[in-house]
Amino acid sequence: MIPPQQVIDGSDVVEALRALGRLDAAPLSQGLSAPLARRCLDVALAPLQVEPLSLAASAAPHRSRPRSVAVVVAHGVFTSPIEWVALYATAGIEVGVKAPSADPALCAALVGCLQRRGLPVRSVGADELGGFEVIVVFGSDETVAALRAAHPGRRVVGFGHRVSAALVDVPADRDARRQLARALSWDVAAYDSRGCMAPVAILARGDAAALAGELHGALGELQHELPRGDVDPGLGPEWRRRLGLARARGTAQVGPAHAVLLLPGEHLVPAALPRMAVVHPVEGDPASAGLLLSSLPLSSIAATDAFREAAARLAPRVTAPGRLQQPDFPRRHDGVEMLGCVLAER
Amino acid sequence: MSAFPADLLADLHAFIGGGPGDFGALALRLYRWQRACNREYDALCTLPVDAVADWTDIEAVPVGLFRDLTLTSFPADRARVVFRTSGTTSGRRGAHRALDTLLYDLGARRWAEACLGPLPRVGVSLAPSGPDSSLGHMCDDFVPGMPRFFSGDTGVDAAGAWRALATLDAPAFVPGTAFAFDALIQAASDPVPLPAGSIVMVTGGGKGRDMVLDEPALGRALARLLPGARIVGEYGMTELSSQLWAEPWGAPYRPPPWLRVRAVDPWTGAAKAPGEEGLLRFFDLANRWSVLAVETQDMGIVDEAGAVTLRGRLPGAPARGCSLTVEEALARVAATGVDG
Repeated sequence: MIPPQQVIDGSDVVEALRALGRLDAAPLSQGLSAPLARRCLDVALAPLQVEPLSLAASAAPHRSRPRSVAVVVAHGVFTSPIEWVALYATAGIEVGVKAPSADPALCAALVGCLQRRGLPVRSVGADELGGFEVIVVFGSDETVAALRAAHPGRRVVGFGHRVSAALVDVPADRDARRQLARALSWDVAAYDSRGCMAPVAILARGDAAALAGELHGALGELQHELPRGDVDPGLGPEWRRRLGLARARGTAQVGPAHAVLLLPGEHLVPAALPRMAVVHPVEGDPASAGLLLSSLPLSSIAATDAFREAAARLAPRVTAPGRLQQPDFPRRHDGVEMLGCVLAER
Repeated sequence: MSAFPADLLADLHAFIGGGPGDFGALALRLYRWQRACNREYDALCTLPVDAVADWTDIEAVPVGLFRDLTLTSFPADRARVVFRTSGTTSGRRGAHRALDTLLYDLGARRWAEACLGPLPRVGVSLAPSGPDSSLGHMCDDFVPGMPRFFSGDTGVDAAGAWRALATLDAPAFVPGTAFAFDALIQAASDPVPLPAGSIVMVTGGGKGRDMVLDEPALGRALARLLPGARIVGEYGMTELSSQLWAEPWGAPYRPPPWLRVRAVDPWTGAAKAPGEEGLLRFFDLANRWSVLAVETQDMGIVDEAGAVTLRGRLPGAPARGCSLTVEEALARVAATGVDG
């Protein structure tokens, strides 16, 4: 066992992650199809290489690092804990991983791979969280608040409810439009639209109907390559409500495992459904076009060039279309440093 | 808009009034008229009108759309009746508009009396009231002018209700929601025997946003504290014009002959066999001014005879990685005012 707080060479962690990457991703993925699970796992592991991990882990002085951090993982995006646990483990911090009770498979596999490299990582239950210096929580605002209340003497870093969106100019050129649609289709399809980085809305300036048509084609192509996985039956009524609304107030194009809706912005709903892309036409200068998003708790915006400045005023993270669900590592997550957030406050 | 066809109205009125009729044929006639006159419904349907040859193929409207669309088969601004949902689930109130309550009133009384016998002429109400409450409308129609001890602003006036119940000297109709009755029994001391023939009508589910009622325990408490009364269950919705009754409360709910219920797979919408649990869809011939086919968010089992055993609301599916449910997200829509 490596003593906590000793910065370690990221190579041990990376070897552990490579072992994780060699596992069958589907059983870890909370119901994604096997090809999509594989793609998502590969994409999530790709940036976690020795150099960026070691650099990120060395970015803070030893004395300010906690001895231990518990990471409370939310259900939904199965790869979400990997980068956090990897970073803290590389930084020599003892890590406890509290898996989502609905599906702990990835967490168990991750912990197993890291432990086999002798790293100070273990699975923990909710009743063990109080034993950690810092608790990093991903979940609903209510979950974050409940953990803060339950652990008054502990530092709790909460990442609560957030959503993401796209803010794009629709190219007049058809090839460029297709390229944009392909990029956005990956943003929509990744993790079957789960997670706070899935776009709840695509605000489109220009020919929004044409973009919706291209998105319909692109999502249909993705279905062949990366089929949609299990869908929670409980989403059925809401799926049909939105389809019905779009048919009555806009347009709806429906594929075998996706839908593309074109709806006035007044019908924006800040919750994504599995592979349902919702396009809202917007007009005017970038600031006014983005107004629809101004009241949302935004995590990220995928923006085309003209909108990047306006998007940066709305969300802590702005990215290119197609990168929405592939965040950089390390980064400021919801505006917060991944390692910095657990450091002792001065 | 075309006027409601006189022959169809006559046939619906006769059927709901207890005369002969063919549910399937009437449903298809009403459906075709609604497709022709209800522009929003026509737009959201995916099947051509002529492709629907059986009532089971009629496309049901998700109940949530009553929040977004007017869904009237007449110009919505001419509505003379607007019943609104409480909005407790999504934070936004759905509206069911009509030009009249002719079939609603006819069917409500007829089926209640068919299930329960003659309705008492006096009552004590723990049900919501007001012109936009369909439940209040039905209760007022059953027992006009009965004293009310529930207000949306102040909740249940339990002390007042107990005093009123104690002074009853004739069979009484006592309607209320499960939560209202729970509040009533929390304030109970000694049992108050009710005159024989009294009916306690419990409606609404026992699952609220913040608490879940133990319905069997509530039923036992009501039976103990209000001896002499029959405890019955009523199932109705703002978006429907007919009700189902269960006696005793807890037994399967019986639909009237002019309303059929189907259980379907919540995701695919495919029909479930009798006895299998599914999402409930209602086909209500009294819903003439809006849409006759409504998909609820309630789970249940429909038996061979058409009676319904409720299994609660469809579980809120986790929508996103942060475990927010769709319901919660929709509630936040209302809070942020994004989706007007």
